[in-house]
Amino acid sequence: MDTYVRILCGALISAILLLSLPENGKTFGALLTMGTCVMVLLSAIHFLEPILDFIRQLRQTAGLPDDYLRLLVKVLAVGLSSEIAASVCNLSGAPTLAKTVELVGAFLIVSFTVPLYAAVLELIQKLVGSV
Amino acid sequence: MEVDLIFKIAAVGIIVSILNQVLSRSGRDEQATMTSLAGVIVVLMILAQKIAELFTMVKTLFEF
Repeated sequence: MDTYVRILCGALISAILLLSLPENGKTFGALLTMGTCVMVLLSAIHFLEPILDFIRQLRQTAGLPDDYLRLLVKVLAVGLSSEIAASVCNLSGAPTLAKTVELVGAFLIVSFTVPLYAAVLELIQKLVGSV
Repeated sequence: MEVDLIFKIAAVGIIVSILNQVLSRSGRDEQATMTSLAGVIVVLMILAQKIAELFTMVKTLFEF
C-alpha cells in the first residue's frame, strides 16, 4: 500500500512538472514521462512476484511440465515489455515505431508458442492415428 | 520510488528551455540548438541506466 501511494504521488508530481515545462520543452516532456514510467514500473514490478509464485505453486500442485509454464511467463514478459516500449514510442509522437515494436513482440510470442502448436499437432496426429 | 529522477529531468528541462530562450533572443540560434541537444543527451544518459535496470529486472523476474 505504501508503494502504491508513493507511485500515485510520483505520477501526480510528474504531471504537474509536465505542465510547468515551457512550450518548447516537448522533448523533455516526453523524457520526463518516460522517466516516470520507468520509475513507476521499477517500484511496481514487485507486485507481480506473489502472482508468479502462486502460478509456480499451482504448477507443482497440478504436476504440469515446467517448460509450458516457463513459456507462459516468457510470453507475459514479452507482452509487458513490448507494451511499455510501444506506449512510450506513441507518446513521443512515433506511432509507426510503436506499431513496429508491437509487431516484433507478436512475432516473438508466436515463435515462443510454436512448440505448443507442435505438441497440439502431435496430439491430434496421435488421436487420428489411434482411431 | 525514487522521485529524484523526475525532479532531475524536470530541472534539466526547465534550465535548458530558459537557456534556449536567452540564446535565441540574443541571436545565437546555433548555440541554443547545441544546448538543447546537450540537455537531451544528459537526460537520456541518466534514463538509459534506469531503462536497462528495468529490463534486467523484468528478465530476472520472468526467468528469461
